[in-house]
Order: sequence, then C-alpha cells, then structure tokens
Amino acid sequence: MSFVSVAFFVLFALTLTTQWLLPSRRLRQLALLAASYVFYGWWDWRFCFLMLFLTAVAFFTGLRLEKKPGSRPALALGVTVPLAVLFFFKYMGFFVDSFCALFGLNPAGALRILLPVGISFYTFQSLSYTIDAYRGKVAISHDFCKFALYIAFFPQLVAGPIVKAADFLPQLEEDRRPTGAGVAQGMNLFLWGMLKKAVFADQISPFVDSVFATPAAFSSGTVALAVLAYAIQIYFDFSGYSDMAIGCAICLGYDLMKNFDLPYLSRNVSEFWKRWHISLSTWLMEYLYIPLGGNRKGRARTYLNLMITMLLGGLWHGAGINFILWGGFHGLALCAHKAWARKFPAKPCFFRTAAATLCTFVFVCLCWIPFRAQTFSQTRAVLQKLFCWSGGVVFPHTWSIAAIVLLVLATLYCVFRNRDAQGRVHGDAPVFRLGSFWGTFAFALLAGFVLVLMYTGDNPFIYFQF
Amino acid sequence: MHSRWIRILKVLGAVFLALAVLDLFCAWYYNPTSYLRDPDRATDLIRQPEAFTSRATEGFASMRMDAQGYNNAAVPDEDIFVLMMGSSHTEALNVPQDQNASAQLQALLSEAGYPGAVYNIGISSHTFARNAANLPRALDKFQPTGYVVVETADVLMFTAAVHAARDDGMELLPETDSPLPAWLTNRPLAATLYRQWGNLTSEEEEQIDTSYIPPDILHRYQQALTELFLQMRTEADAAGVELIFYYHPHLALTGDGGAETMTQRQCLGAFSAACQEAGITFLDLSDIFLQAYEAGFTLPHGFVNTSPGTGHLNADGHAMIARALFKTIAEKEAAK
Repeated sequence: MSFVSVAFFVLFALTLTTQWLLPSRRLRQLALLAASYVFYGWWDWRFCFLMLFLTAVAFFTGLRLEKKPGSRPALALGVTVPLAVLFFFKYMGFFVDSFCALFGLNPAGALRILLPVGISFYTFQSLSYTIDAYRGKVAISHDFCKFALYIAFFPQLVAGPIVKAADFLPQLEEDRRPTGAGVAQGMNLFLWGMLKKAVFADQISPFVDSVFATPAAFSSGTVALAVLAYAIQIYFDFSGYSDMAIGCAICLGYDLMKNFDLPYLSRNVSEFWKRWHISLSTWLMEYLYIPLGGNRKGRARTYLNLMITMLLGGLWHGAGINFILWGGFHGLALCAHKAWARKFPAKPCFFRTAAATLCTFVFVCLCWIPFRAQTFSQTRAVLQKLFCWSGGVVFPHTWSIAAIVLLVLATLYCVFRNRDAQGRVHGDAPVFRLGSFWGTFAFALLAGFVLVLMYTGDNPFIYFQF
Repeated sequence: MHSRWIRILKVLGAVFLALAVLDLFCAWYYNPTSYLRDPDRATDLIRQPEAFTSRATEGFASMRMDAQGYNNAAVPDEDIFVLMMGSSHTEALNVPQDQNASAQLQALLSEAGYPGAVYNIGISSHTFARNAANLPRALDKFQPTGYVVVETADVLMFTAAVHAARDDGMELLPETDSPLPAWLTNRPLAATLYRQWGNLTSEEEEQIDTSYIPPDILHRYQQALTELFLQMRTEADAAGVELIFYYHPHLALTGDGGAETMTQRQCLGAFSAACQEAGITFLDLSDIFLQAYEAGFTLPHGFVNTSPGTGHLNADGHAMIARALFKTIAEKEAAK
C-alpha cells in the first residue's frame, strides 16, 4: 500500500480513529499492529509471514541473549538468519546471473524470486535490535506484540527511517495516543512530503525515465537537465516519503528520527552522509564501520573500513554492479576527503564554502548516474552524452525547471532563516497553525495544490525497491 | 461559546478563500468545459459554445470555443472548403488556437489564394470509426465544398468497430464523463479534482498483443475497412467532396539516438490498401515525421510539461500535418 493511494488514506483514517477512541494502551498497540500488517500485506499477504518470522527470530534471540549475556551462538543466529533471508530474496538472482555470465551458462532456468517490499529496512531494524541486545545497549523486550510493532510500525516499515529499538521500544511503554496538536503537526509534515513526492518527484519521473532510456537521442543540455532532475527527484521522492512517514507517526503519537537535512548543502561528502538518509548512514556507522575498527586502527585501515562500509552500503540499495559503483565512488570520495582534511584543515570563508558545496553537489549528481542508469552501458551512454557536447532532442522540461527553482528558493530561505547557534543550516518544513485564519488558508491552499497537481500515474517510491 | 463559533467561521472562511484561489488557478491549469450533445449529430458531442477553455496539464494553451462548440476562432461566414474531422489531436486543446493543424492549413491555403475556410470539428474521443459513422451527418450539416480530412492516430481497430461504423451502430459517447451535476462540472476546481480522482482510481486496461496478426484475421480486417471506405467514398461523392485520410504515428526513440514509428505494419498495409481500393487519398505521415526527426530532432508529439514524444500532437506536429495536407490539396487542385 503506497502512502499516495486511496486505500492508504482509508486505512490511516481508520487507524487514527481507533487510536483516538480505544481506551487502553494495549488495545491501541494491537490495533496499530493489525493496521501495520494490513498495510504490508496489501502488496502480497504471503510476505507478512516472512516479516513475522524475522520478528520472531530477533525477539527470541533477544530473550536468549538476556538469559546468556554475550552468547556468541545466539548473536550468530540472530544475525545470520536475517542476513540469509535478505541474501536469498535480494541478491540470489544477481549472483546466479553473474555466475551464469561468468561460466557462459543460460540463467533462464534459474529461480526468479520476488523481492518483498522494504525487506532491507526491516531486516536492518531486526539486526540493530539483536546487536544492541548482544552489546547490552537495549532493554530486552518481553512483549512479542510490542516488539512486532517495533518491526512492523507501518509509517516507517517499507522505506524507513530505520528506527533503532532503543529509540522506539521505550515509546511503547508510554501512554502514546493522538493529540490535536500532534495531528495538526503531523498533517503539515505529511502534506509537505506529499508535495515533494506526489507533485515534483513524480512529475519529473517520466522525463528522467525517457532520457535515461535513450540518452543518445537527447541533446547534451537535456541530458544534463535530466541528471540534475534525477538528483532532485530522488531527494524529493525519498525525503518526501520520510516526511510523510514521520508525519504519520506524529499523528499517531510517535516520534521517528529525522532522515534528511538539506543534503545538497553539504560542503563535502562526509557531511553529505550526515545529511542524506541519516538513519542508514548512522546504522552503517554503528553496526559496520565502528565494529570494523573505524578510524582506530591506523590510516590505511580507516580507508579500507570506509571503502568496505560504502561498498556494502551501495550493495544494500540493490544487487547490481551500478550500486556497487555508486558506493565505491562515495567510498573513494570519503577517503579523499579524510586525507584532504588531515592535510588542509578547513578555514571558514564564504567563497570556499560556496565552491566546496558546489563541487560536492556536482560529485553527488555524477554519482547518481550509475545509480539511476542500472546498467554499465547506460551509464556510459549518459556520461558520453554529458561530456561530449552534442545535439539531439531539446526538451526543457518545465516540472524539472520548476523543481530546481523551488529547491533553490527553499535552500536560500533555510540559509538565511534556519541557522542554528553554530551557523549550521537546517531544513525544517514550515508548520501552518491550523485554527488561525491565515494558517488554515495556507494549509488548505497547499493541500489543494497537492491534489490538483499531483501525478496520478503509477509511480512507486524509489526506495521501495531497496 | 461565542468565540468558538467565531473560530469555526474563521476556519470556514479560510477554506472558502483557499477554494476560490484554487478555482481561479484551475481556470488556467485545467478547464476542459463540459460536453453537450450535438443535436445534428455531425459529431457525437460538442463543447459548450463560446466557452473559455484552458489547460496546462499537457502543453500550455487557452482558447474560446466557437459558436458551434468546436475549436475554431469563429464559425466561418464563407463556404467551408476543408472540413477537418478527428479526435483530441485534431481538436487540439493543447496548442494555441492559431497553431493547430486546421488554423495552419487555413493560413497556407489563404496565402496560396484558395477560397473558402478550413473548419475544425475534431472532438476528444472521436476515433476514426466514430468519425466515419458521423460522416454523412457532418457532410449534411457543414456542406464542405472541397475536402473532408479525417485524422487517425491508429491504423489498428477492432473489426467489430469498423462494422459498427459502417452500419452507423456505434453507441453514442456520453454527454459528460462525470456524474457530478452539470453546474459542478463547469467549475474548474471540481473538474480538475474529478479528473485526478478518475486517474487515481482507474485500473490499467489489459494490453492485447497485436505485434502479429494472423493472415485470415488481417484479411477480414482489410475487407471490413474496404467496405467502410467504399461507403464513405460514396457519401463523399454524393456531397461532391473528396476524402483525405491521414495517419500520424507516434515516434519511439531508439538506443542509438534514432527514431522509429510505433506502427502495426500489417494494419498500416491493410489500411493503405483499403484506401487505395476505395480510391481515397491516404496520407501516412511516418516518413515526414522521421525526416523531421533526422533533420532537427523534432518530435511531433509531446510537450515540455509531460514527456518527450508521448501524448498529443504538439505545435511542430500540427505544422507538419498542415504542410503535408496543403501539399496534397494543392496538387489535387492543380490536377483539376
């Protein structure tokens, strides 16, 4: 079930009503759990059993670790099973195809496996719980219903933010329920997310799809616009989803972590990963980079750890050489930045900051090419067109240009208005005060614009496939 | 209690103001005007006469329909020399009124000194078969003196539809495609929201594989087309006009940077052969479109606010059609 669907709005309205009306916390949580499984089962009900299985594995591993703290077999089981499931569903096809290609075999007879939506997200959540339970960093859950709700909580189930048990389970111990102020704030955030996703990201999508399908047919300028448009599309698509997820959670009385913070304003790649998909980069840092040794084992190991983390981060997005390439480029850039920062410590200067921000943005945009193109030959074709200036269909796509203008204006607004005490710029969507005349007017106007301008074709969230 | 009512009134006022602003915006963004039944049935439907219509959902254009409910600057005072029949491509609500094929053909013919008007009666959803069924009534109502041009974006039709057109047995298009009350369908915001709702809840139609048509079915199809075209020819002859059919295929861009037409070749062959058998001029714009693409990467369909090469004819496509039709008509006139 997508957030931008009639079915979702019906489910959400029913859930919100039950959360409002049900008197006991237990009943509210059960209703929320049921809604989460309906939400997930809407795609394919069979995968509910898969999610239930992974939930049970993590839950019982936690109990085992409580009985035998520091038990390595329990940890091994709790980590291996979800990873094996993830490997089977997500990477099996890729490895079989690669194996067949290597040995000249025909992959036609190989098993084709349907990828369960959001498997990477809830697998990572169950892993984080198991590892934290092993480290003794999280209170072991004894209530299967609550734990299942932590894994399946529908606002963040299929595309994050990836929530850590230590952040979410304590919320289930509190008497959380919808409040008027919470619903108003959540609706505001949901609406901004919908504007990003359903209006801009989705309207840009057909143009980007056309250009990436046949880059040779388009002029270099149009290909450059499509690359820029994709950078905006994926940002609006994913951050829009995150905003909607966080907004839904707030409406229901729960808090989820912020997942994006103006990533294209980053001055270097390290900063980019602190602003882009924050929940994933935090996860990778805590559960992969630091356990590998982080920066504690010398310079060479630090670079190696960075590369491993980013390559696996790339692979997390999908089974394909293009994602590995994307992760590899980011890994190399992180290493290069670390080396540079060691030699030339940053000196705050407006022009230097502006140049660094622009260079980082261009680098990130170029890295999106293999990410979007999906095949090596397509990546090469786009790059060829981009760097060997040549003619073709000229297509100044208005939605892409409008999105660029909007992003620039919103960024400028944040640069001048949303600075913290340290001068760091943050991107928080404005919240209209419902109840006041102008607040209600602005909210109704924005809601109307979203409904009128939203793309109504079939366009799933990009991150669902991951 | 009193302040509570004031707050409710404030909120309601704010919502109404927002709705008014949105309605104004939609008057520009998507303002289709509702359909009415054509009492003479030259077409199944007409637009509201003299109504203002605008759309920015695909292309950017706004215009006023003429007094008969068609997309022309005005109902001509003089004789109609060329009558243009067709679908939404011919109706051309996506391009400025002076840039559609009919207006451009009119300009070319006037410049060359041909008397009479070009009159566009293209209406959305009026497929080739539907126009074929309506032809005798259109001839009767508009009494063109020179030519009737019938557009088609597709050369593949169901044989049953061809038979229905021949027997004038096609079910009429509904007057309005919305169950909303008439006064609401004329509110741009309501019409836009209704359109969005329809798109959101519509289910994808099952695609039939038509890449290959068995010879016996193709033969029956061509036979049905020939019967229909012969009948149309007879009707046109009786009215003293000549028929011109034209086909405008969509172009698909290819990986090597080229383009190809998205055409069912067997059906194109059948359509062309049936035209030849009935003695009707058939203008296939495939080569003209491909040449324009090769010369300057011009695509006849698609707009900068949708995606390249898809959807309705754009101004370039209309210009190419107008020039091709002008050339054909000029040659025919010269031969007379």
